[in-house]
Amino acid sequence: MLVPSLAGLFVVSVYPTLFLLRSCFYQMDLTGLEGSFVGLDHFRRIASDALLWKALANTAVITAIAVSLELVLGLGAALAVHGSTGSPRASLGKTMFRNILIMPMVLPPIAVAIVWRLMYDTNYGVINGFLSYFGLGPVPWLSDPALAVVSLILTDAWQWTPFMFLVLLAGLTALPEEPYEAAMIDGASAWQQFRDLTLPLLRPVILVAVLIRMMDCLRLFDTVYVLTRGGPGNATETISYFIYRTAYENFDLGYAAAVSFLTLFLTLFLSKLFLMILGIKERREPEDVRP
Amino acid sequence: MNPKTSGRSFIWRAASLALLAAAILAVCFPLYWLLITSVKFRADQMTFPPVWIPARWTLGSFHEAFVVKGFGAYFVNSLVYAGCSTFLSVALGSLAGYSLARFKFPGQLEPKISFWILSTRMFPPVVSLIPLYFLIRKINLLDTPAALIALYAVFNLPFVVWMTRSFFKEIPVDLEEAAMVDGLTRFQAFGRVTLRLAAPGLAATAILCFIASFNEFIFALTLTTLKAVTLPVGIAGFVTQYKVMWGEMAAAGLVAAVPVVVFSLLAGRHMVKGLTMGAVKG
Amino acid sequence: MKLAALFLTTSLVAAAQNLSAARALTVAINAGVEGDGLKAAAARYQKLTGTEIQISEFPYNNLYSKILLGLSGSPSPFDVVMIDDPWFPKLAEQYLLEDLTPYYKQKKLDGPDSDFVPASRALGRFPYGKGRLHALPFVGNCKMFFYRKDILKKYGFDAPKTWFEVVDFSKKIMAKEPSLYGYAMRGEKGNPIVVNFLPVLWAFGGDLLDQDGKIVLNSAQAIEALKFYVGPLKSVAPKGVENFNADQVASLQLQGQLLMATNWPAWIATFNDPNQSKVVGKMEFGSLPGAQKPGRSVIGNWLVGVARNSDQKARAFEFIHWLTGKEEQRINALETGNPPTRVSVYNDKELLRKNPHYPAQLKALSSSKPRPRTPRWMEIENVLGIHLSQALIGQVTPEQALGAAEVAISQILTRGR
Repeated sequence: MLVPSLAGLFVVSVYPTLFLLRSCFYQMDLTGLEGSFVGLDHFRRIASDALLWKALANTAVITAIAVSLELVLGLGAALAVHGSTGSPRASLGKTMFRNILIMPMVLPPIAVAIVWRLMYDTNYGVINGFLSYFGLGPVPWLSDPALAVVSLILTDAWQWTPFMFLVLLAGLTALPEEPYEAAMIDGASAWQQFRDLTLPLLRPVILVAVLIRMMDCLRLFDTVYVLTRGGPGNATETISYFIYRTAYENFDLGYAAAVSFLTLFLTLFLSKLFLMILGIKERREPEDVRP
Repeated sequence: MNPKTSGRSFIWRAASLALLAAAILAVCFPLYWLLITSVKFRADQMTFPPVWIPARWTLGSFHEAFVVKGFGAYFVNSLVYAGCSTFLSVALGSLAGYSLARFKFPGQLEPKISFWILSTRMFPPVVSLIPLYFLIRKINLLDTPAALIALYAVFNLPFVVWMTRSFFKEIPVDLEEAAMVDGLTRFQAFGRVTLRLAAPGLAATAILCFIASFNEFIFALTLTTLKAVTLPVGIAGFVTQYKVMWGEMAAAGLVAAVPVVVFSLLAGRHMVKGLTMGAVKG
Repeated sequence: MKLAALFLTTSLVAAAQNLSAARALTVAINAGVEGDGLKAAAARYQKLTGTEIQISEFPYNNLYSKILLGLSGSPSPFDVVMIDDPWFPKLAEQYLLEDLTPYYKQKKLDGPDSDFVPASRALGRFPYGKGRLHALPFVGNCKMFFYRKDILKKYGFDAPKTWFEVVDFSKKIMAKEPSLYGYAMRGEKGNPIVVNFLPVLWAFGGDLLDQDGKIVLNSAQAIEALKFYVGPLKSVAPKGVENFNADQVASLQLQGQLLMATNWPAWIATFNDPNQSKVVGKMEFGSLPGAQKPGRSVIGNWLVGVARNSDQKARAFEFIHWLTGKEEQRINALETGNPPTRVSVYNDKELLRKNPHYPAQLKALSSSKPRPRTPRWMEIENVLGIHLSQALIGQVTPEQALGAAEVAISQILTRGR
């Protein structure tokens, strides 16, 4: 029963790894497999490729800022909603709120990026149109290198803060009530309760949410493809876009393979971390359900 | 009243309500803009100052996208691929999940296999893009539904295996054994007892698979040419060399949003559990 | 097992579909006005000859890779492809396009007739101008200078003859008309900024590759040109040009907010359409300004070729031969406004009446210059586009940008396959 699944997964993980391992040392064209052996040339090129390192740095910066922003906003909203529970009316409101928030994250990222590109337009976008009522702008959202990164992050935050919110809210709801009752008897303030109880208790959930979002951010492609195509210059080029551009715009397959290999290596580290945390949870589960 | 919240003042609650209202506005406005752009005339799409509420409406963009450009076919493609791949991955994945949850494996093999399956989920898609492109080209499946259906099914497998494994673990094995004592085979017991109990979770899992496949972009972009094109790829294609066809993109984007939004609302509560691979319960 | 069975059945279905579709000619076109022209022509051809034609439309950004990958498959999914001329050398070098000379021989002809504009006809041969014939010119695009003659006249100016005048006129007019911008470049990285910058580079006496295909980009002239481009020229441009493509440039000019721009003649019809344009009758379309050297336009023709791996090459050739013929070129120009590739069509009375700018367009086309005819052009353009864009946003100096681009391009040229 396991075999079909394992075979399928083998094809999409082990086979690509082996393929890349070989391709790294060849100069190849997208039109055919035949290439010439170039030894370590690609790795030498990686070492001196400023565009590649910028793409890696961009990916790291976008991931770090976007995930932190989503965490702060998501946690704030989760606390606010959690605080307003109680009456049946509030719980109906909560369900509606949840349903609204689900929408951004299930929409096709392509459709999301298109709306935002339309709204960001320097001369005719609705954001600058709004700002102009206050005598501000026009703000070159997508054509200034720093702002383009900000715009990309804002779009990502719009789509994925709801994810943080839902996960953290679920975590909050599952927290035990006893410690809070005890804290109240001790006369702890709301802030003290948050700092000393909520945060530590919520830590595992926060970690899971952050890690999932980090993995997603490292793959960022669709939004970049529509919003900026990595521009202006290479200000918003992520590693995924770099690989796509190298392989499908430059047809420089061998080099793209080498960069893919590097990327695989980097993500391996992060996934180990993720698995470790899930592994800890797994071990806590009662064993008696197993035959 | 909830003991965690008492002691907070009225002002605090008012502030948090205001915050929530702002959040709802921030979430809804781009959706509104998508909707409104799809029914605006081109002259009203890109103007300064912006047209907040158009005085004239048109379905021209929908007509252009779905009748003239044939986006209906792309939409059908997307639905079919997402549907077929979901069926495949839930069918195969739950079998694997069941065997991992129930059968004895020698040594520490079971957690090892489970974690290996989960680890393939971490594989960045763009990394396998080039190898899979060559593989699919070699077996002559470029630009075919089969290629995308098979790929999407496999991409979702780790998720399905991991989720179903946890569902099946939660269902006491005694129930199955009791059914088998009553004369059912193991397979019948699985079908009539375990599967039935796990059904809501399975449905939510299937919905998340569907959404992921329906929205997938980079593989659809590189592995299709003409016949097998999906809706997201078609939408991105409206950025032509000279003109960006905002109205048509918005119209197609809106239609693309319908199935995923409907399905996600059906999944409701189970979304959280699914989105975190079962690490957080909703 | 199940998966394999699914593979099998679905691929069988796909194969069956392929077979049934083999009767029709499949043509890959770009999504846009040139592609629309071909689509309309295909419908006429179908009516005329009964040959069924299936059109596959791709966005410009994906068309090249789809064509390249499609043509290298066997059988090719396309019989006829529409090619932007800088893509041509790569396709011809790899022999992915059919050599057309034998088909002309069958018709007792040497090759394409001399009515084609020489600059356009030369594009279809590899090596450039004299080698094997692999494609015919279908749309005679070349960059033109779009300007507001009414406003220039109001302030006593003629069409600018040099890029310095472009800046000078812009500054003087912008001081009086605060809602106007002087010149907008297509600043988006990649193809747009490269094509937009090349005429400036050439006017300043710089170039990319020399006669022998060696890189000569990082010259004093080129640095001066790029300094001018990101300095004075950008100073009269609207905010946000760093990610402008033709769409944004044309939108501004159609709304009457932009004095001058370089753009493709395909836009001219839009400028004359009162439904889309606020500047009907106020525009003039001419040749590009110069500087130290006279202005030369970048040629950007759309070619049509036959897939070498097609199984119906003879029918495919008949179609493109008809498509680039005199009568069809005339009808296409009349109906879609696409620039023709034949001298006789530019001199057609009816067309001249509708397009008073045709003599200027023919002149620009005849004196135009192609992008370097190297199979590695797409890679060069990709990397050059990033470095130029970095200079435009001020992240690096013009010297740094050209220095880095020269290194990257020479690596591309020396790198093996």
